[in-house]
Amino acid sequence: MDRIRTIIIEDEEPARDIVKTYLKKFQDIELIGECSDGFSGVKAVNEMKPDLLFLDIQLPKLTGFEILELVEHSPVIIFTTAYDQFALKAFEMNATDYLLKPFSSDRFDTAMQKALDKLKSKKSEGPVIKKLVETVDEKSETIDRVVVKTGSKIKVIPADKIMYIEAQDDYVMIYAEESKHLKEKTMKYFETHLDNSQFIRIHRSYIVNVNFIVQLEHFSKENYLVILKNGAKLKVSDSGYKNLKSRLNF
Amino acid sequence: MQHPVLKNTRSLIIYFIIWLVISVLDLLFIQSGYHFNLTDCIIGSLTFNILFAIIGIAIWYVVQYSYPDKIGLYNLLINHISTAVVIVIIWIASGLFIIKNLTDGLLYEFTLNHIAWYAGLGIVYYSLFALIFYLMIYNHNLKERKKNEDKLLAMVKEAELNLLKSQINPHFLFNSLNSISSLTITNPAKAQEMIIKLSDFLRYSISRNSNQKSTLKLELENLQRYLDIEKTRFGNKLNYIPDISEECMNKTLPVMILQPLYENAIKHGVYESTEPITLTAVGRMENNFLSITLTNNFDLESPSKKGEGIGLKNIKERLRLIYFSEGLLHVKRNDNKFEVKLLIPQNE
Repeated sequence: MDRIRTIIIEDEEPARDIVKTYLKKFQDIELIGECSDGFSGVKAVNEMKPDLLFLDIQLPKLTGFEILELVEHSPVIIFTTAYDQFALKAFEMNATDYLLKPFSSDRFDTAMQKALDKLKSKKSEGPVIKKLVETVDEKSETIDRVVVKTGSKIKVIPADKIMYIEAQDDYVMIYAEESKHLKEKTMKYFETHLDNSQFIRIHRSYIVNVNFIVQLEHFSKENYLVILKNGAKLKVSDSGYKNLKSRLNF
Repeated sequence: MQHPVLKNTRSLIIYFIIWLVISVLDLLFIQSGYHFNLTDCIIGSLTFNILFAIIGIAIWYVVQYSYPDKIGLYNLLINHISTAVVIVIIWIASGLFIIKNLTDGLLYEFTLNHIAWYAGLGIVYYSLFALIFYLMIYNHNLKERKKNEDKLLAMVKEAELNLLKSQINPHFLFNSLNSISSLTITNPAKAQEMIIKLSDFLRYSISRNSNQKSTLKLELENLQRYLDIEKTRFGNKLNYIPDISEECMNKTLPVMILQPLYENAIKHGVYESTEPITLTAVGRMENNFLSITLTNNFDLESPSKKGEGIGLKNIKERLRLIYFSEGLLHVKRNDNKFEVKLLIPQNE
């Protein structure tokens, strides 16, 4: 049987130890890497392309879900989490396996068996992971940061630093103060998850951060433009104008 | 509470139907006992009854205003007696006026001669109105009270549950148990030690209510347990340097007031960092205040997460409620250091 190349992404050493201990009895497993934070985790998965991944949700730098948004490779994943009721629901809905800490070796074996079956069937995990990320996206919590990738560099952009977001077919372009980034998420996602008191949908193609608006220009009968600190001019639609009006109280 | 008659069209209609019935009964009574022509009788009964129906609506406001608990029985009686007198006078006067102009003299003469009767009837009507209105208010208040009681009970239950939940941080608990689970294999003796520490920590945490006071010595002992447990998870990433002067040890402070500060420092410092984090705690007496300053460095590259402020806000609020004082919690944040200073008054 081919060796199953495995990476563990977990920041607490005792938690890594126990996974390693439980893995000992699986002889085909080859542990090729251990990471204790999100950035090195993304790097390791993209570079080493493991078959199997043990992924913790709570990590320094990036959460387990943010890591999934950024990896280009789709290994079979076993999630570990101490307490995250939402995550549990997301996992159950997408038939990915998860381990609740602390877990017994029997429970571990069950998860491993599922993973081994998946690996044998050679079906791509890509769609499963995509579905999982979508389920997580539906969580209606406000996000305060966005993770983007430029080449091999990962950037975490605090929401406050986003000037505006522009629609680009299936993607969006996020304009931060000093850079712009393409991200594979919808305008609706950002409209729902960014703080409504700070971010307003002014047009089908634009969501703007009010803190970067310097002027609202009325350039013809029904047409308005917002002018941002960096000089950018964005079109405002009728409904967008209503949104601006109610939010900015004028 | 809304006016029982005026609150909607339906009640208004029912009210006037009742008065119509009373008018008919009154009519029959007058007709049978006295020999006036039918038209006069109808006018007579309708006049006085409809008049009282209208005037009676105002009695509600006197009743509402004269609630016994609010103004005392004496004032209540004064209000009602004076109002009743005025109402009856107005009622009889207007009634007489209408009758005089709509009928021939007979009914008018009759009414005038029996004015005492009418006055009596007026008082009876007034009393009935007042009584019924009081009963309605009483019943309404009873229902309101029951509703409030149920709501309060539910709130208390929820608060108790939340208190319990907040005292046991699930992430901390399950991650600690996971570490202990791992230690049972790699270092069973240490696992046993950790189980005892965790158990002692939880016992101290959940067995107090938020008004209770403890000594700094006991609080620091509990914090040491907490930090020992966290250290098994984070190893060298977590370093703790206490610097507490001896005189502070027996001073009092609210129980478990320091633990959320340490937890906050670990959550925003250690969790998010890939570098070692150091927590320093300095305890000194400043005049009559016990001053405790907790400092931690943090990873500059770590994106700051929201929620940092909420834990601190709760502590500030708790201090305010216990000591009736503002300004007992100070936060300073510069470069890569985060500092929280607590001032606990000692003059009790």
